[in-house]
Amino acid sequence: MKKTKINNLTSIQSVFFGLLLLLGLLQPNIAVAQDANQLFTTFSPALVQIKSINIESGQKSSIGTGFFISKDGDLVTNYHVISSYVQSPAQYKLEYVDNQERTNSVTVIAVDVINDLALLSSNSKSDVFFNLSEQVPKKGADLFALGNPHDLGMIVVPGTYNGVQVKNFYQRVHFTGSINPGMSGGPTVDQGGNVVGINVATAGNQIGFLVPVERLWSLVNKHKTTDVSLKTSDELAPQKAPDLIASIREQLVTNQTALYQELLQNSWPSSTLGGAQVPKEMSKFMPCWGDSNQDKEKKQYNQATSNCRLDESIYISDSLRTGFAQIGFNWIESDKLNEMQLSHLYMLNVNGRYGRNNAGNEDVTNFHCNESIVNNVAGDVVKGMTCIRAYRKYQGLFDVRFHSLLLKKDNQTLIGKYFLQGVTKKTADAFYIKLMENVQWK
Amino acid sequence: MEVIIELISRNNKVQSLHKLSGDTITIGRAYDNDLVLQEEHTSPYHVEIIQSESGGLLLIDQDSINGIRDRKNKKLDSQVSLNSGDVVTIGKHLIRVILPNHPVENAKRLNIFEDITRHLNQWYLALFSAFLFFISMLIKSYFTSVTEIIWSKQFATALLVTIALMLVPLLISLSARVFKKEVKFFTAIVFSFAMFVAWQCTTAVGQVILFNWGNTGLVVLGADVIEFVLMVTFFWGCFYLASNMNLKRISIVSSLLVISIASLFHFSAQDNGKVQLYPMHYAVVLPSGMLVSRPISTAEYIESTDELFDSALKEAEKRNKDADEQQ
Repeated sequence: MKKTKINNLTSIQSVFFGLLLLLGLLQPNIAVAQDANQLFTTFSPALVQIKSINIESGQKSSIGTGFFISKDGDLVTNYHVISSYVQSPAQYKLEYVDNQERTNSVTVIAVDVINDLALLSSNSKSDVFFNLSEQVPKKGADLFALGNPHDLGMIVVPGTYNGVQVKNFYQRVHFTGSINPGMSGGPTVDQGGNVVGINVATAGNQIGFLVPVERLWSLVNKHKTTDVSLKTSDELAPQKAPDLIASIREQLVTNQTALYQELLQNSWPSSTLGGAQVPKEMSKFMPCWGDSNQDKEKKQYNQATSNCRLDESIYISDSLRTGFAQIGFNWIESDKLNEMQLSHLYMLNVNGRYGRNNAGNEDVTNFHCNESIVNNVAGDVVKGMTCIRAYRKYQGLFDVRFHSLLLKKDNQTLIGKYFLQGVTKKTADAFYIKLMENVQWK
Repeated sequence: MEVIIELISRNNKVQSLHKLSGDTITIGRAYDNDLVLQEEHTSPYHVEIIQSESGGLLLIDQDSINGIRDRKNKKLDSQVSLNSGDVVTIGKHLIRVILPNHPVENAKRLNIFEDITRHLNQWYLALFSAFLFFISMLIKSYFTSVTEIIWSKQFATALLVTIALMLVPLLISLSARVFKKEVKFFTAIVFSFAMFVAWQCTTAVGQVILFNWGNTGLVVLGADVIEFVLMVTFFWGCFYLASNMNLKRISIVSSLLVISIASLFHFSAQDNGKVQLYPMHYAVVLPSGMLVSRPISTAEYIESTDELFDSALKEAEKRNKDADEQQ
């Protein structure tokens, strides 16, 4: 029923486009406005607002957009819209509000924290629902983002498909158009109304990001069986609720394995920093930046730094983000300071804070630290310090901080630091070994 | 009859001693008394001491305004019989009445500390020790400055610290005065600054150890022991120079003092179980020439971090368990 509707739409639209071209009066704005209007009218029954309600206060704690993807009432939204419920199911409940202002409760079937997706189910049926696109749009294709920004009501935002971000580890579609808070979890559709991505983030100034629909496909396919079983025994649903935390943990472990496999498999390109060899851009998603104190007045020492950072992160809860990685080097040399003064300077530097904290008091343990004098692969003497903290909910994942200092040269040193978030011990060990192979005196 | 009368202070220190003889011994403010007490609460003819028939001493009030009182200032009868060594209050003076055959304690052997403190009580030694400390401050600030050095600033700072720390020997000497101990101001200076220099030296040694072996359990324990010993020594010296307590008592008091200070610090610094979101670890770095420990291999280091992962996991488990119990 709905399919035919869309087919009609596309034919009307192509005729319309042809007419415009024929007349040589290409006015895409009018065309887009028409499309947007029609799309919106057709699909607004399939769009809902998702609310996470704090049971104690009875007030909403977060809102986002969701959309039906089947007539059985299966909904999709962003994980971050419903994260408070997933993290503390006893304190929150989830519901949706449809275009008729009807409220209905929903349960979470599955989440994908890496791609910020959540699959929900409701007891209601929906005659209108979105089809997931099976093909990738062409660059420059017109897309329409749907959602409810800032609780202002459902809107449609026209924009352009600009491909998948190449410099990112986590695949995101670059959508040129405004995505605003509250639109999170809403669909972005092509002119045929097929979902090509899920609104997830913005970088401001018409730069929006979408989760590619393939990610949603894999989540849906993976949980089709679970989905069915939930449908057949609705009453038993609460007891049979999937262990979402365990599945998040599994996703995090799998993801960090993939991420660091990519980071560690190739040999790192090396560059020189002062008198030492350090790795430079280890991967395209880990850009490096540099600086020096060349133009400082009255300087007693020369200093050059290089810092590489994976800026993408995985949202787990308001207090916890993970998946950051950062590695930096600081080379110091001086012929003005004596050995004692220099070592004091090194000490101040090596103990300096590195990496930001992305965890709350209840997410992690204290740091557990040790230090040692070690040899790297080249036989250079290194003072190394490791600090580790464990994730409380996601057993086996750690934040690992390593600071090191290349010794045995009279008037210079190289300070190396890295901070990896949400890694397993295996990954941490592998990263350490790789660093010891790649940092040495020239 | 021969009687010894000691004027004593509230804490039993003898202020003056008078050996008197005669059938009756008169005490009062008038100048024709055997013992003249020039104090306004003492009557001109306050009391008389006579030998009683039984051979003991008898104190007889001469209708004085304030009478005879015991050492706690409670009024006694107008006739008080005394044993050798008894203390009474006349006016505001505490006096102890003693017979010549009153037993005396054995002589104290001169202890080694008396000798040392006497030898150290020289102005040039005091100046030298203060100078030594001043130099050590200068060296420290020189070694830790990573910007251009302004010498006049370094000098002034070191001098300021030295002068401020002069308060310690001053306090010792002041206490010695209060507690009627022989004031050895120069010794106090020598002792204080020697302790401060010793403190700096042990810190320096500690840094070398930390640089080589890090902040491991054994190093922490050793540092705690040394810190304890230094603190006890410091307070021991202070008490010795400032009071008349015997050596055993000084040892006990100074140990107890350090223990209680340490435990006060411990309790005031205890956390509320909240997680520290940044590492509290501070690594020491010194010139490579001071490195004596053998470097370990990559594999060995990884093995050594195993226990960090284990202990972090254990903490996570414990915190989760505590949280579950709370709910």
